Amino acid sequence: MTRVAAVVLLGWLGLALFADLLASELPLAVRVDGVTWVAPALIRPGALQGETHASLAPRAEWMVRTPIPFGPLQTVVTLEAERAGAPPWSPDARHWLGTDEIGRDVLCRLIHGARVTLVVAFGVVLLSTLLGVLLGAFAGLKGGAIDLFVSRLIEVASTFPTVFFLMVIVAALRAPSLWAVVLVLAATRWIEAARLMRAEVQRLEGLDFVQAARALGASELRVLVVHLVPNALRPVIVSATFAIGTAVLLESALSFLGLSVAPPAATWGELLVQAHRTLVHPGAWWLAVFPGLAIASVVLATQAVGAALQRRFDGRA
Amino acid sequence: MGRLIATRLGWMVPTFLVITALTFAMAHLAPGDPLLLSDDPSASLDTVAQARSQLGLNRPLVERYVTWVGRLVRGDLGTSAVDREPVRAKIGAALPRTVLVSGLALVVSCLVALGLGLLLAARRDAGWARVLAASLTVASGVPSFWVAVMALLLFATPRGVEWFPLQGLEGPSHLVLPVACLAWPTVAMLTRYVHAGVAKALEQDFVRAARARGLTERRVLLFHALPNALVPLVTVLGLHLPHVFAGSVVIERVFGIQGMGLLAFDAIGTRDYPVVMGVATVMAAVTLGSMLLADVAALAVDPRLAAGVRR
Repeated sequence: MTRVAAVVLLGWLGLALFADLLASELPLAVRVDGVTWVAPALIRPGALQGETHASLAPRAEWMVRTPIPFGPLQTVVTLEAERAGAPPWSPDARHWLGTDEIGRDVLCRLIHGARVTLVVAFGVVLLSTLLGVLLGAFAGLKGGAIDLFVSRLIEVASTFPTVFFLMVIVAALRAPSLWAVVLVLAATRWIEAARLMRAEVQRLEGLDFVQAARALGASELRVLVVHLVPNALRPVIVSATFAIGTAVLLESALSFLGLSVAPPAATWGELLVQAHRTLVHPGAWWLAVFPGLAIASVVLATQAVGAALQRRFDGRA
Repeated sequence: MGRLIATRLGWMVPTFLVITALTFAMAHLAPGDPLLLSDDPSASLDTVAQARSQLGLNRPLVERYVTWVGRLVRGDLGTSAVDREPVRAKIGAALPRTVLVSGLALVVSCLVALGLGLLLAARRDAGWARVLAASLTVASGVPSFWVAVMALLLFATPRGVEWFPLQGLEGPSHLVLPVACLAWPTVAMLTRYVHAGVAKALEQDFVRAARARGLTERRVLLFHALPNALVPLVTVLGLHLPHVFAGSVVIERVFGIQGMGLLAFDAIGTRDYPVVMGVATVMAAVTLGSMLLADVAALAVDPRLAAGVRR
C-alpha cells in the first residue's frame, strides 16, 4: 500500500518536473530550415514561437515528438476543423483524455496543472511547518508570557473562518501569482505544527537528557536546536505529511472557485470548473473524472505515506 | 460551568475583533474600487471623489474600522456598495439557506456516522467491514466539490439519470444532492472516530462486566460502549463545524444555492466590501458560537470535564 502511494507521489512529482518534455507544442528535438533544435521549449522558449508539432512536421528533416504533442495553452480547434461539432471533444486516439471547452488537451493540462498543485502543496507545507515549529518551540521553551501569547494566537487563528479569509485575501490580490497563493495558504496552516511542537518541547523539557545537557553547560540555543527540536519533530513530520493532502484539497477548491493562480495557467480545479459549466451540454464527463482522480490520487497517496510514517514512529517510540 | 462559559465569551470578544479587523484591513487595502468598477462610464473623477467622501472612503482606515464596529454593535451592517441594499437584508435572505443545508448535512452525517461506526466496531472481523473501513478512508481523500460535480453529472443530467434538479433551492428534491455532498467528508471523518471510540470502549472492563451480567450484545453496544464513544465525538464535531461552513461555499457554487458562500463569492467579484465584511463577520460569529456550543456540549456529556473545570 505504502509502496503504491510512494510510486503515485513520485510519479506526479516526475510528471510535474518534466511537464515541458512530456507535453509541449514544440518537439523534443527537431531539424528544420537547416537548424537543429534540442528541447526548444526549455532552452529557447522564444525561438520557435507560434510553431507546433503539426506546423513543423512538413518542413522538418527529422523530428522527435514529445509523448503528448500538445502544449497546455495550445488550442487545436483550427487544426482539427474537420471534426464535427465544437469542443469539448471526448477522449480518442489523438487526445487520450479528451479536450476542454476551447480545444486544449486535457492530459497535457493535467500534467502541467500538477506543477501548480504540487508547488503549492509542498510550498505551503514547508513554509507553514517551519513557521509552526519556530513558534511552537519558542513558546514551549520560554514559557510564561511568550507561551501565553502564542497559545492565544493559536486559539484565535484556529477559530478563523479560513476559507472566507482566504477568499478575501486572494480576491484582494486580483490575479495572484503562484507564490502569493503559497504565502497566503501557509499563513493559515501553521497552527497544527505549532501546537504539536509546543506540546512536545514541553514534554521533553522535563526529561533527564535535557537536564543533563543543561548541566553540561549547553546554551539555550544548543538545547533547542540539538536536543529538543530533533526529538520533537516526529509528530510534526507526520502531521506535515497529512497536511500536504489538505493543502492539495484547499488549492484545488480555491482554483475551483477561480481564486487560485490566474487563468490561462493550467490548474486541476479549473478543469473541474469547465466540467461544471458543460454539465448539461454536452455532459463532458472526461473534464470531471480525470482531474478529480488526479486530486484524489495525490491526497490519498499522501495520507497513506503519512499513516505509514505514523506507524513507524509509533513502533519505535 | 457558568464561569467557563463566561471566560470563553470573554475571550471571544478580542478574537472576534482580531478576525474582523484583519478582514477589514484586507478588504480595504486591496486594490480595486467599487466606484471605479461601476458600470456608469459617464461618472467623472470628480463624481467618484464626491461619492468617496459621501461613503467615508477618504478617511483613515482605523477610523473607518472603529465606525464600522460602532455600527455593528447597533446591528447595522451598512449598505451594499453595488445596489445600495442593506447588507442585513442580503444576509437575512442568504443565511437560512446556508444554515438549512449545513445543518441538514451535519444531522445526516452524525446519524450515518453513528450507524456505520457502530456497525464497524460490532462486526470488525467481517471481511466487508474491512472493505467498508478502507473505502471510508478513500472517501476522506476525495474532494467534496468533485463528488458534487460527479453527482450532478450522474443524477441530474441527460448523461446519467435526471432524478434531481440541477440548480437552485426550491423544494426538498433540491436538497438531496447538496446535503449528501456536504455530508460526505464529515461522514468519513466522524465514522472513524465513532468506530475507534466504540472499539476502544468494547475492550474495557465495564463492558466485560456488562457482558458478564448477561446483557445482550446489542444492549452492551448501545448503552455501555456507545455513550463513552460520544464524548470525543462532540468535541470533534464542534471543531469540525467551521469546515462544514467552508465546504458549503463550494457546494453552494456547484448547486447554485444563493447562500452565504455564494453571496460572499459574488460580493468579492464586484468588490462589494460592505457585503464581504458582513458575511465574514456573521461567519466568524457563527464559527465562534459553534465552538462555544461544542465546549458546553462536551461538558454536558462528560461530567468529569466539569469537575476538572471546577478545580
